[in-house]
Amino acid sequence: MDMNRRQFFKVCAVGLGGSSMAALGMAPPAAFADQVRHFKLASTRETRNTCPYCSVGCGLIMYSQGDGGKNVVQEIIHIEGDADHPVNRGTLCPKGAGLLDFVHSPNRLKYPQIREPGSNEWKRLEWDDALDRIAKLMKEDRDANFIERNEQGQTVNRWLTTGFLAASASSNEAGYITHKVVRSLGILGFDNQARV
Amino acid sequence: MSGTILEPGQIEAAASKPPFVQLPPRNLFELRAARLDTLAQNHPLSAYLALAAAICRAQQAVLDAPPDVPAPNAHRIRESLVHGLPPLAADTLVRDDGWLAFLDAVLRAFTLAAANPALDDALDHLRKTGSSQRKAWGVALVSGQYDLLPAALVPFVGAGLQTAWSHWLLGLDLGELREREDQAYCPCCGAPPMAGVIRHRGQVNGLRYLVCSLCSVEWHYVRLKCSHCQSTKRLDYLHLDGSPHGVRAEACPSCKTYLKQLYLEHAPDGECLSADLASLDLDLLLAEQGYLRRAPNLLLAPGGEG
Repeated sequence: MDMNRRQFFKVCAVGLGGSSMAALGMAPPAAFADQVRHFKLASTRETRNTCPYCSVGCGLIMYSQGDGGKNVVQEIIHIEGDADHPVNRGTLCPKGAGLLDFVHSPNRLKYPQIREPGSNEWKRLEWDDALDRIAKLMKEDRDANFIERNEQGQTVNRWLTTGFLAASASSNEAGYITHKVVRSLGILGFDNQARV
Repeated sequence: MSGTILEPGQIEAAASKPPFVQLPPRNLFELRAARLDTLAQNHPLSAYLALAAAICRAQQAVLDAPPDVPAPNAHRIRESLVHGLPPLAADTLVRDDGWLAFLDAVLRAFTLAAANPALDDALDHLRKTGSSQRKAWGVALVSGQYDLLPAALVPFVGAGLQTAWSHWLLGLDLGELREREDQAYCPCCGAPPMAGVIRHRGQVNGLRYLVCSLCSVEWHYVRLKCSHCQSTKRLDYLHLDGSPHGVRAEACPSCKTYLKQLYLEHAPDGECLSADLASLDLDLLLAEQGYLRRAPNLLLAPGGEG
């Protein structure tokens, strides 16, 4: 079939005058095209993602609304299993099926918080301060407890007083980076969270 | 779609691949007619929807009692299936005589109470036209060149073509049809899709099937992927605020084309051809936004080219 000569199926206000409708004496009222011009075109974006809960990694389709403009925040309105995904074929477990509430939860943690030793109060702090503080405390602990050699004098470079727990639905690449960072510090106790 | 609860035994079914093609039901045209009648109520294009319903009823009558013409060459069908080509290739079969008998039968079966002079003229014109001219029109319509035939005749020529191909399709053994990735044209007849449909029940829940504009077979096509350029980036699903038809246009920013999708979850009684004709307002708005449509609907010449 010669696809190059194929014409577009173009429905335009002027064009309806040349359509089968007009040719068969069934043209829409003149006001039709004008009316249509005042309708608002809404956009629902559909996006593929992976469920963050566990290491099964079920496929999701997330529906969000917003007009697609650059500065418009898209609001997620519905989440369902991705029927094309070979892992879950559109199904979700009860936790996955409740993802929309997880996204919109008022209790969701949106910024770093700290509870100082001895205090019972959570304080909000900036990301930079939080990361600096984590780095400082990790270094202090590592400097104090790092084991360079064992009793036989062999080099081991262990840091046993700190552990690390990484997220569940990480990609291979994220897993590789986690391993590189954590192991090169000497931490032995680390895991990827396979279930939440 | 979110409410899938698996019963015992369904886990195995869910783990297998979804069926590649879905044949249309034997009463497809009857369903279309009924749906068009429903949609025609209080619709600005009600006269045309009623005409399309009458055409579909004629198509059903012909499908129920098809004309006695030889079936397409069985050897060719078998060889096409073996070599991964569409067994009912539209561009070849439309040049044979087979489908002309179906067009005749559709014209004989067609009746419409609210006839008008323009419609009578069109039918007269078509009835008086010889088979070689009819065939030339069929070739033009199948290859998407609307300006090569009179707009008034398109719905009838299209109906004849659809009925012939659906009849042949329903007589086919498609067991050997293999799914291929990015199947943008009908695996059975090679025609472009008319629309997509997002299914809402059973094993095919949440899957998208493309509906053939000619033979009405449905074939699986991965969702969230442009059916024209295969792009998966930043697709938009555009619809009219509060549209009752469950139709959203999958619009691709990279090739600027769109394909309408019917979400059965939002319109459980929906059917693609009727939903498409009833939502031309969406096409009108999208055309104004600069989006192009490649998907033909054989029961309408849009008249918008040039």
